[in-house]
Amino acid sequence: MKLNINQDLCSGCRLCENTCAFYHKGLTSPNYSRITICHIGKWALPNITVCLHCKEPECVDACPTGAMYKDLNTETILVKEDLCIGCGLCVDACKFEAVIIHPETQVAFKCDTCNGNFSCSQKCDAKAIYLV
Amino acid sequence: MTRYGGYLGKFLRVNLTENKIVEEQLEDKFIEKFVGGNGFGAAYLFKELPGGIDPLGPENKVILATGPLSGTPIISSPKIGFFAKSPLTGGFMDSYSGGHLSAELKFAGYDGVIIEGFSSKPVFLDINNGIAKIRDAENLWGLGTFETTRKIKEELGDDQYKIAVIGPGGENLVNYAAIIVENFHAAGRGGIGAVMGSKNLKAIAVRGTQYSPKIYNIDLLTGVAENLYREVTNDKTLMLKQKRYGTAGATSSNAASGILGTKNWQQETFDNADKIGGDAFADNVFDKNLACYGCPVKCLQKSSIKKGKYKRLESVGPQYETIYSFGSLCENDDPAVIMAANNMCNDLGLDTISAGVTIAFAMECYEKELVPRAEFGINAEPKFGNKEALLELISKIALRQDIGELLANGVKKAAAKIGQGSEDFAIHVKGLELAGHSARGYKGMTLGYAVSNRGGSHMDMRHVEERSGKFDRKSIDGKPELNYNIQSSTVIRDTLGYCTVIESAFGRVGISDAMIEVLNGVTGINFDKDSLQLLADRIWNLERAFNVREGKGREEDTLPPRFMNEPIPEGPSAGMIAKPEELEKMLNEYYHLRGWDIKSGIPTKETLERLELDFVIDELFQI
Repeated sequence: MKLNINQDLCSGCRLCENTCAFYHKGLTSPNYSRITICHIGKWALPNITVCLHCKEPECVDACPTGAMYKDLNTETILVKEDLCIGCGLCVDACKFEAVIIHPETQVAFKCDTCNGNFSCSQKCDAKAIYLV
Repeated sequence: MTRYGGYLGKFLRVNLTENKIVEEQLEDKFIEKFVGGNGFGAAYLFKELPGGIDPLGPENKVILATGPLSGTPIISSPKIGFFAKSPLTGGFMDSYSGGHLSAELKFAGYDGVIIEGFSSKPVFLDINNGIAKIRDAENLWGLGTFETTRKIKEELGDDQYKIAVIGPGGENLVNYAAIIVENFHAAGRGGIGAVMGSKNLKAIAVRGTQYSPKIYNIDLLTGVAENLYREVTNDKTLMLKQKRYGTAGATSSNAASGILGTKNWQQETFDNADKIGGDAFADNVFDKNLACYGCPVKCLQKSSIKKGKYKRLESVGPQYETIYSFGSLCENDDPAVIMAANNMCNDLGLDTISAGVTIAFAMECYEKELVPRAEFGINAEPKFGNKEALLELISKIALRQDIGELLANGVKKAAAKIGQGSEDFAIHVKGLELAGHSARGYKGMTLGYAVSNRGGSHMDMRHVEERSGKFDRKSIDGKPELNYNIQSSTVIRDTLGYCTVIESAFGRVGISDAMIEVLNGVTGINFDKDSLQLLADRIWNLERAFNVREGKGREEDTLPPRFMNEPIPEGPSAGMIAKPEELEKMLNEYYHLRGWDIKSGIPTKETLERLELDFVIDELFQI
């Protein structure tokens, strides 16, 4: 299963953020979410930022330590946190802005697929985040 | 630090006179007794405001309070309560906004904010991840809410701030000035925007990403949250209806039953109701669904006008209450004009219900020749159905120009000044203009409006159970008990922070198992049916006691004379009327259920003792 998004369908409710943070951390604050919804302009039109696990991931190419890697079984992009040196080259390489260096851990922080469950997609009634 | 889940355990206290901000811990005992939102607001207001203060003086306070559910995995709980003594009613006022502000405030580290005193120059409050500052707002004073919101984001360098703002309406102390949240949500009712204006407080800007409400039991909460999500999203009727119409569908159903407030309630049918009905908006105006924090129902509609004079006009909404107040009530059948009026009110910072009802009142005064045309100071003739006049009057009110000076104080005070029998058709209760659910056509609402602590609000007693036919809307039988039970559920709703849109999942009549399960699941406080009922009773009585302290008792539990003297003249509900003797009978029964003195409508000492409101007894019964 592959994660996909449809920006037009997003209502901006941020239940995905809440679910992601809660799944991983048992807390709900947005800084623990690996998916981000921004509200843009006067009418707060939503914009989703999340890793879509590129076929040819530039973040993986940019990583000097092998921390950012492609799991060949699942074809998803994951981070080995113990190898990450927090250099931020992956952040620069990702044109979708889907990776950050987390301010608390100082290592790369992005969608880890929730063990293949993609919990955000399970709480997206709008079908803006969905699996194909 | 509280041991209970759902809270940050902290309030901010902002003293504008002293330019000082302190953090205050929430005591566990206070949480157990008042729980959140409505409960916190009522407790702080009663305890901290002396009786008889000027609502627009420095002694009044503006309190923001979230409920324990917001910012947690419990869906559809985005409400943030604003509380103050109302300049419109002189009584207790609570008004709740949706949007993302409530969750944002929690993620910034706080359950609520108490704002007191008065700033000698315009300021705004900036709350960002555990740091709060009072900032200069001299350059923002006089601006509309849209421009103010944009400029604050620019100044603070972060466009994801969630901001509650007043416009010229609040600055000019319009008695029904709204607080506009994120451009299109509102804590609209009762003029708390004017209280902000009186303090020279232009805005409250909040950015939160770092803090989480405490989670009491992760496994338990995961299950409870999951069940609620499934229950709501599997309710296809609810989901499809809200997605297509939001609340705008109510226009058509009220029109069909002949209970759509029209021409300042001279009628309850509107010939052109179809033109402003749910389908007219859904087919031609609504473009895309938007949602408040954590809500899969997404009842908001990004909207636009595609042709004609208002082509390219953009908005979010309007919702039913605005369609009623600027549509049928003013005999306006143009969705674009309703949208334009809605946008003007959002930008100027006015409550759309009170503004529309006040304009309809003014139009009737003009048509009855009680106020001459020259006094209006507008180009268009202020008669029913004149769209230009409607829009001109909104500006006049916000700026307090010409007739606006009078109308800015609401229909109660305007009628007192105009006299000549205009009091009979000033549509308010306790000074608060009535929402768009018929006080004549629903016997439950006859009593519900009369006893609402806010005044003419449709959010305490709800009309929904009578609309659906579950209870006979034409009979007074059992309506006192129904009021008591529905008010109990709406108090809990406003205390926990969930939205009216998922009332069906929590139950609308009385304390439900779902409320107990969710509240206990989030907080770990061990409520049962009796103790949650006690909480609802405590909060409702505390609001009532606030009003009693202001000299309001049984005599203010009444309706506009129009509803008690004039039957609905036409349509499917023709002949229905809120007979004074019916209201009196229901009041007696209702006071009895509430444990209030029948003659005065004041909670008895025994009732207050049962509710552990000793500090109220001390004040109300001091000799």
